[in-house]
Amino acid sequence: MKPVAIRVINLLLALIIGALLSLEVVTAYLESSINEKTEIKPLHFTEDNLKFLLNQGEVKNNSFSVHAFTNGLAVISSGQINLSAKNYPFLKYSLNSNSTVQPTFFARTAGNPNTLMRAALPDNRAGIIDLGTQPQWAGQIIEVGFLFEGKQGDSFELKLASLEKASLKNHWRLLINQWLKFEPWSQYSINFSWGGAKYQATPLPLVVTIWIVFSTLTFVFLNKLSSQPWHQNRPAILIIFACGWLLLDARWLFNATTQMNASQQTYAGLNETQKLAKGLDAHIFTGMQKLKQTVLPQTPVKIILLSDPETQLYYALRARYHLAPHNVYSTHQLPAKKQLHTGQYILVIGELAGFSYNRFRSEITWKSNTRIQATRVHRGDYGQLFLLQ
Amino acid sequence: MGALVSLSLLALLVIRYRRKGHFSYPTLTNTSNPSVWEKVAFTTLIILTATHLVFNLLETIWTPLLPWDAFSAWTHVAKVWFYTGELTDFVPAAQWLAQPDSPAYTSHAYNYPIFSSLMQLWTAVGLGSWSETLINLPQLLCGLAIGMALFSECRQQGASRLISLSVCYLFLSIPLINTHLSLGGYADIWLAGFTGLGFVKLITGLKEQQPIAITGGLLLIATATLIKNEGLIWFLLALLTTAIFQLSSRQLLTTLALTSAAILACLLLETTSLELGTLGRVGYFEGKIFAPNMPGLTFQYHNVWPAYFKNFFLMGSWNLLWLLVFTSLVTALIPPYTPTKKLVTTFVLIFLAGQFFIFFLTDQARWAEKYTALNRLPLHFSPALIYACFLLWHDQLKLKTEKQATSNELHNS
Repeated sequence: MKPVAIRVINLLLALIIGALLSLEVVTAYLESSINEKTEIKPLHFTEDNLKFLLNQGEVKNNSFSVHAFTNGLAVISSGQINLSAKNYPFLKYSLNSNSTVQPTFFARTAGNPNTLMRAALPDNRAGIIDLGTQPQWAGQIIEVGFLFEGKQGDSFELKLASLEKASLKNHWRLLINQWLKFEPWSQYSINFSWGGAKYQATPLPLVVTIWIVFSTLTFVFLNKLSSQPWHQNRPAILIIFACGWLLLDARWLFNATTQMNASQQTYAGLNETQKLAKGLDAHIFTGMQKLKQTVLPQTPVKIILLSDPETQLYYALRARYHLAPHNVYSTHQLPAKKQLHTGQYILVIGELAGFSYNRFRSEITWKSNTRIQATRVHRGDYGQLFLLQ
Repeated sequence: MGALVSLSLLALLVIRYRRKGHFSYPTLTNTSNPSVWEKVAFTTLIILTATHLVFNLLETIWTPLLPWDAFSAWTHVAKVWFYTGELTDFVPAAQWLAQPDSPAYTSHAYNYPIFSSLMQLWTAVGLGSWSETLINLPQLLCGLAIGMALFSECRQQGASRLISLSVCYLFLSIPLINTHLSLGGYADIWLAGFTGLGFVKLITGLKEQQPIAITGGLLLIATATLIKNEGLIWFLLALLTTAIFQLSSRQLLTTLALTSAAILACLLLETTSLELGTLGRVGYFEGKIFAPNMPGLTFQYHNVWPAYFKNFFLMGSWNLLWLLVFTSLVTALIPPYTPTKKLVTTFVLIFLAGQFFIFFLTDQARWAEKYTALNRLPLHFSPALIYACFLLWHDQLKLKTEKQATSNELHNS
């Protein structure tokens, strides 16, 4: 056989053996976290053990269809039960909904019956949750159920829900879910990516690294066995590395494709205004558009924007951006009286502790000790706009 | 203006060296016909690279401006400039409050370099209207340009089309690069262009002792100072790399002795910092390190190893880039020590020392703990790190091929 053919066979064998060894390592690690080996049957949720609290849906073939909401909420509950949390660390389910709001699984424990433990059901498909990682999932469980937040027109279908024991199969299923979990664009995307779920029992890049190491060692060993020169190892090592890279890239592209579909559904075909009105800050955008078009002058004016730094900073900075080219200074404190001038505007985003307005006296009060004459010129979902007198 | 000066200097250098005959377009040494397998691999890589770029393009076109620093700093400035029709001043808040009649604007980013905002302004002016999406198209083109430059540099080093494309693909498939190409508004991808490609050119220049490449590389990195304030530190690292390779041992020791003496004299005279007008304080003052246009950094050790390990080896931002960098570094430490090995090791160690200084020894550690600048600063070096790894492996594989050819010749004779 030609030396090249031997090396190719060695490489393929090394990749397969490396994969098997790394899977074995991950399996051993997952097994180490399974303490109980006793036989526990899964607890399947059916119409016999889970009921709608109000008449908000129907149950057919153990599939719960939710289509009505009382005060924006629908609840299905087990009522009084008694089970040990440590016997059931996994929740399996299949979910189908037309809502963007995730339903939640809830539980009440004997130790703390007045507090609800909540876990969001993140996948709009078959999913599994590791309840064991939640500190509140402990001791005796006295009630479980599901909460659905929704409005007219929203619908949820929950089926095949069950509480499961810790098993290797469940651990693997959860791990694969963690690796493939969709990470949509968010404020942290520009800085880092989790590469799947935030918590992963064994992160995928680590498993791929283990695969690369095992495959490389196996290849070097096989090459030595077949008396191939040492320096022939280097291209093969690069190919093994490339396989690892391609695997992680496939995961990224899978995430990217899901993101692309989401972006297309949300934004494709919309004009600039429609796109901005779909954002997290839609109420701010709409409010600022209204101010620019109907309240503020066409030429840039000076605006002092006040907001709570803990809860409103994002909205405040978005407001400043949407107001451009108006000349906005974003802050959390009202400047000293001598720094405020007639003709300037004060924009308050959301609620702000220490700020109040007396419309009868046309007077802003800031932290009880500063009083300024101002007229409220607009009020909306975003907050209020004042003109200094 | 600074960018224009740098680029003009670069153009002048090229013209001067071409006239003197020091500069010619390199001849491609690897022009052999690829095998069927190479053709298949090449096509696959083209498709993969194109897939990444198409994803970035569609996200750029569809998704309105999202990242925090974009709407709160860089793009806000560009939007103000576009609508006011002039490059209006941005001043500190105290000055804004004190001058009610001044047309100047205020922002926490008032002293940020203007390059990134200018690029968005330029795009909006070209479009004739402000677009929340299309203003970020040049950033995508910047990423594409970096990929093409890497391909070109690898070809000039004698790599095959397949290997050169692999290097380009490695860069364009890094998840964090994809994010910066899809969600525009940050300046980091521009810095990856100027600093990253500057170091690529500098490494090539130092390896082959080409003054034009060294000067070009340094000029590119110098231009990075006009994109983000960190550019200055990267420029100092570039000067250090150049000094180590261009100065003789005696010159290096003399420089080191003179620098130490200067520092000692400053300490003795109790003059460890200087006020440089609008640039602010520079030097060491009251327990803080000052650089132009940057807040003082408190000098103190912070243990951010766990954050580094998690971000570089366990999370999804970098694919396997750091595994590649660290295995390449280990490989470079195995004898025989070739000039390329020494160069790559020095570059990677200087890069690591820079990161160590910023995040382990100053209060910038908080940005490492928050997983923000910890990833975004290495992004500036990513093209050069990939290129350094390529050079190392390419050199070793070339040595191996040469050895094999010599042994075949001996065997035949």
